[in-house]
Amino acid sequence: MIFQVTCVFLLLTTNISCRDDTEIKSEEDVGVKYANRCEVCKVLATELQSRLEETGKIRDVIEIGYSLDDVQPKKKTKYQKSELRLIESLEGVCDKILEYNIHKERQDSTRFSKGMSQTFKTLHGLVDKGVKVELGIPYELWDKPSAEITHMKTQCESLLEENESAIEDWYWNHQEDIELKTHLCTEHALRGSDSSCLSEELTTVKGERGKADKTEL
Amino acid sequence: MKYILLLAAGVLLLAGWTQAQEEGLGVGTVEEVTVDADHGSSREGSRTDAEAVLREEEAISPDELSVAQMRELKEKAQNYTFQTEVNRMMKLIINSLYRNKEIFLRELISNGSDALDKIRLMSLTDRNVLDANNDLSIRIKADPEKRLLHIIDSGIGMSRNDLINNLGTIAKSGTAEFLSKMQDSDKGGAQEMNDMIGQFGVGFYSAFLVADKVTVVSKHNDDKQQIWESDANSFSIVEDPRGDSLKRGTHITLHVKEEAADYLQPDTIRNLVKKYSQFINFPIYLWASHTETVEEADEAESDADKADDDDDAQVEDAAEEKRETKKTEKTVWDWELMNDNKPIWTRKPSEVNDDEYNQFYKSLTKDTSAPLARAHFVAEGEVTFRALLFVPRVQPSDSFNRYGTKTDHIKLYVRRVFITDEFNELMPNYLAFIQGIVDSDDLPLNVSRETLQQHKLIKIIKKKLVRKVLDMLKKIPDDEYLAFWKEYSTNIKLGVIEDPSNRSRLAKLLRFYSSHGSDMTFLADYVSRMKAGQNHIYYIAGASQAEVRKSPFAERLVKRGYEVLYLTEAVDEYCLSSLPEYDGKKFQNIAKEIFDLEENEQEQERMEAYKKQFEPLTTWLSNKLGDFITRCTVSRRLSRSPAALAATAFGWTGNMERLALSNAHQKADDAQRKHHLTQKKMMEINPRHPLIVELLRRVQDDPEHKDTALAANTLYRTAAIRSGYMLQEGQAMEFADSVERMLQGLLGVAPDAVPEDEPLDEAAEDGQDEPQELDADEHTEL
Repeated sequence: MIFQVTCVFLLLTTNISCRDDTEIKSEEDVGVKYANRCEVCKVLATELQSRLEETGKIRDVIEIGYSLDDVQPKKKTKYQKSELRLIESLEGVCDKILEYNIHKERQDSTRFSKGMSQTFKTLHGLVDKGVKVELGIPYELWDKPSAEITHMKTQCESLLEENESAIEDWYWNHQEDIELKTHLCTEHALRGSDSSCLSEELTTVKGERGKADKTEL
Repeated sequence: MKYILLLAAGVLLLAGWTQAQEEGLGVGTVEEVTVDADHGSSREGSRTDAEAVLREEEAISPDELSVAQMRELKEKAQNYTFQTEVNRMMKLIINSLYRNKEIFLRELISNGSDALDKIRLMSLTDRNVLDANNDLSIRIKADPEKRLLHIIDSGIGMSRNDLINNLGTIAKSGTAEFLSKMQDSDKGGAQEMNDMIGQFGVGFYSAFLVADKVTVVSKHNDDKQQIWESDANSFSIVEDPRGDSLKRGTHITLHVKEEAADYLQPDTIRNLVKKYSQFINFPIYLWASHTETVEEADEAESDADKADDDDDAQVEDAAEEKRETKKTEKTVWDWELMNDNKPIWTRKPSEVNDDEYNQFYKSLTKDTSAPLARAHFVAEGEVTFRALLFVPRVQPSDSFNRYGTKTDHIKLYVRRVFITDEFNELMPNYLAFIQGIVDSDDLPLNVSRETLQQHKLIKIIKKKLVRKVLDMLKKIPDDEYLAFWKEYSTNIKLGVIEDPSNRSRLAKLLRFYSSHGSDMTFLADYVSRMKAGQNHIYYIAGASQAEVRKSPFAERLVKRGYEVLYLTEAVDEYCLSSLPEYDGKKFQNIAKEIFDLEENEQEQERMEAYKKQFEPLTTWLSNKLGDFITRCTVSRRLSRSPAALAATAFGWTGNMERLALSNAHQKADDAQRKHHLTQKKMMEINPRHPLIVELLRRVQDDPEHKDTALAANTLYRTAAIRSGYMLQEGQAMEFADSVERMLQGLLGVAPDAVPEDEPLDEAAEDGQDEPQELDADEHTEL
């Protein structure tokens, strides 16, 4: 029972910084590595793409205009090609980020992905087995979004506000010929800065999951 | 065109008017025709068919009912007494507005306009509702001789039940609310009453400001025509024996008091309508006379003129001849249009002047001062709409008590038809103070407020409206911005928190105090003043300027010429913590442990030296105060104070703790809150402070001395207070005790001296003795 999990302290490095006299100049010095611009853009593009795919399934026709005698035909717009679809797809798209978790066991941009991180799975597994795990935060808060995630949501919102016209331009003019990620990130939001994270993919994901299952068994 | 309109109006609406009026309406009769028809022909039961037809067209004023009808009315009328609340309210209105009687006309016209709005809205889904009468207008007719004022609308009308409910009982919650509000603010006086009666739909009762008796004849599509009559004490309702002479609508007749006779003069009425009702969306007509000069040249003479015209030489003669033609002046009675009812927002902005905008704003909002800013625009795209938006100069002080619960103040029109003003979807909460109208041709109108609320196109309108509002606010000139910011700063800050899609735009509107001077600064100005190599926007939050200007965390920064924002409102720290950066510059809350200050090599070396030198003290303090602090370190931000407590990277600053603790609306045992409140802080010491230097010496000499331990505790507690934290868990008491002990030493009181015991027994005896003595005295005196 007194099996204290040492790896835990890697998570909340605030605790190990005790009496360590290094300067704390940024969040990174307390073990919180915020998403960089590329990572934010990548996640935003992914989420927006999936929202658009969802709203793209709606086959509604919007009828606009009204006349008392119904002589004049109403203006009709297909929802799929409407401003409304764009607005509804953008609405709250960054909230989706709260479904992400930080997977500290990974280093590149894939550290932000949905589902519970390997580390937390292990910890929850330990708790379920009756092991006392001390994280420095109350158990109720374990699964609350971490600082990286909530901050990434904010970063996402800012990036979205900044690049709204680029997204609109893509929606109206380039939907067919360019991938959203390329247009939004490579050509606009990340122009002139590092965009290498865009191509990073989570290749080891299956192996990891397999391992996790085994250890739990 | 006007002629046709008037004619149509005459035929359709005013069949119930006297024949004289009807003629007047159509052709503009000369004065010889009396306005009041002779009613003798319809006297006493002896009715012929012809008379029956005539009767239909008689004046609808009950005064002009026949004697038989009057008798019939008296027998059939059902008498009611006003609810006590209504009575009280009438008295209240009459007493507080007796100096401001004229508003009665505004109220009656605006009721008429509401009734017209309602029927027009219904007609959009069921065109048959207009069958009875196609005309939509308000007509006013004064009869100075009989001291009667008629106000007639062809609106939705009231059924018998409507009359009972609307005029006489408090069926609407609004009336009760109005009463309680009036009683709350007795001192409010006439102005407040004036501002309020319209909002609560009790404006009708203002009719009794100028009238002894009020008669309301009303016809609703679903009921027969009814007559309601009241002398302000009780009221009666009876079915109108003349039948449905109104077709549809309401005819109010005021039996005007002698002293209010001025309100029967056409000029007075014109002025009042211009002052209060010129932007009513329906035509308002006044039955009025004007003089026309008519030439009565006979046919022969005109022919002669024509013949003469051919001959140039005789032009002068012809002119002379013309002088001879008869010119007669005639008084013509006609319905005169009093308002320009082309809605102001449908005009081009360049063609509307400031005064017109201000007048419109005042009539829209019942505000008495001009707006602070306005925006008038057409938005195009998937939904095309026109909007005219205003920022009022003040917002009600209780706005934030109602935050998020109250509807916004945007009136929604579709094709110039008023739909609703009880709509929550057009403005976000933080912009609920914006007043104005939105008019779109593109919204479908099969339409109730509920279905519209769900309508998705509203989303597009809202998005554009918000952008335009933010543009409008951005454009407020500097001299006005101060007034705006004073009134609406909290709204904008809440916007930063609540509206991420416009966060950067809102951030441009933010203003804070700063160490730069005594005035507030925009963030853009801060950024422009940033020192070379400065990467962050520094800020500190606290309860007041006096507190933050002396904050230990800002000491060294300010001393070295870095600008620090001073946040003194409760919402400020929340606001900036949801704003990640401005113009690419990150914010840094200097009351937290994360602190980045550009320093040169020399400074860094000095810092390293300090750290080494004070290492024994920081280690010792870290151990001694381990229950309260995460660690102790040499500070880079202190210059005057010996020590301070900084929050951890994600912990709460003293200001946040204070706000969290004083928030009444919260869960009692919230895990997150508890976690934050019990977070340890980081202690920073000032290596240049003599107290710290001395403490270092003592710790090195004799770390176990009791004075040093006391010093450690007291140092921690003063640092906590100075940094804005409250001393929790009884520490405040211990702190007070230790300070008082020091005070004893300072004043030369023996350190072991304790408070004297109060002589309990004696006190008790004294207490008992005294009344006895008193009694004795009284006895002797007696």
